[in-house]
Amino acid sequence: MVESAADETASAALPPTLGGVADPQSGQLQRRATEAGRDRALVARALAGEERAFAALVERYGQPILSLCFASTLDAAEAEDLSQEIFVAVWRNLGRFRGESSFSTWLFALARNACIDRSRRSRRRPLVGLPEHASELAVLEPSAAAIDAAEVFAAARTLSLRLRQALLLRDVQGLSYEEIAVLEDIPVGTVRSRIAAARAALAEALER
Amino acid sequence: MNEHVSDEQLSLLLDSGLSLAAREAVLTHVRSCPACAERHDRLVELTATMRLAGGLDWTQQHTEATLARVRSSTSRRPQITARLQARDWSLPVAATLALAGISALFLGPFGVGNALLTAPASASGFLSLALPVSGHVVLLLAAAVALGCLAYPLSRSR
Repeated sequence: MVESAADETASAALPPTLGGVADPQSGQLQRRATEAGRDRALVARALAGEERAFAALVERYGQPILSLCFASTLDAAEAEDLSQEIFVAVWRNLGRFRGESSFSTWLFALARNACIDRSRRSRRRPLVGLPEHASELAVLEPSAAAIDAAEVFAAARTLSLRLRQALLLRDVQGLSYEEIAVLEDIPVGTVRSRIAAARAALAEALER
Repeated sequence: MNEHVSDEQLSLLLDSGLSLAAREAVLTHVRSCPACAERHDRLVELTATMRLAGGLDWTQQHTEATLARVRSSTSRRPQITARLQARDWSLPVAATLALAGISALFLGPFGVGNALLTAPASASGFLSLALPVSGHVVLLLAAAVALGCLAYPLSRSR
């Protein structure tokens, strides 16, 4: 049995965009509570009609939401559109946020559902272009990327949404396992297995 | 380590997620096993390709575009929702005032209700629809509405 150091790093500091993970040893728990309180205050001010407060929430959570959307759609324009759609939905439903969970938990759940809906809808459409930068990469970096990036992204589209999200959040968006766990609301161990399964499936798909 | 390394171990090796001892064990196996070495190299290539492709970054323009879309799609919607969510006493207060007004109308010394309270509504000209109800029933209905309105904010309390 091989030990994993990922568990040890599960409590590593997260960038403020994700709100941090609880770790009493490093004061993360306290920081997370402070951030949750700050979010709640911003939500209250946004509900009172203060646009700057909502803008602060958008600014704060834009990156993780865009990352999730890109990991789901594999298309920059669609990811941007979807992330905007998610924030519009947040604005519309802000009154329903009861504060039973942290704002980030509520927001990420809403975003995940939006990604699932979009994925279902896009499954009915024929696959269109790959990310522009993927095909550019194949031309610009032929030696560094021996496998064609466009091919990789095409193969990634064949993965299930869960595996694709985990893989792309890690390898394309550069999130840590812990950040992905927070975003997806799953244990770090599940993130590990999903990433490993996705990489293996992708390698297999590219061999065919 | 005689067994082949698992997908998860290989994956964690790429992400520096193994402990030192585990990393050494996996690397020793990979060096001596062509099948695992091939899998390892393939994964290295694959992840390098994806990492080079890079992801999307949220910029100020994204924030502005999002806010513009929010403005155009739903102006001031949350306030309405919030008002509905809050414990709202305006409705019961209005109902109570209405009930007081009706009572004054009916029960005052010169109120038109004196006739209604003593005679069927059909007999009075006040209720021109000639409904077969008396003034008592009207008052009872008004009281029920007022009670319902009073219960409304309590039912919304969390």
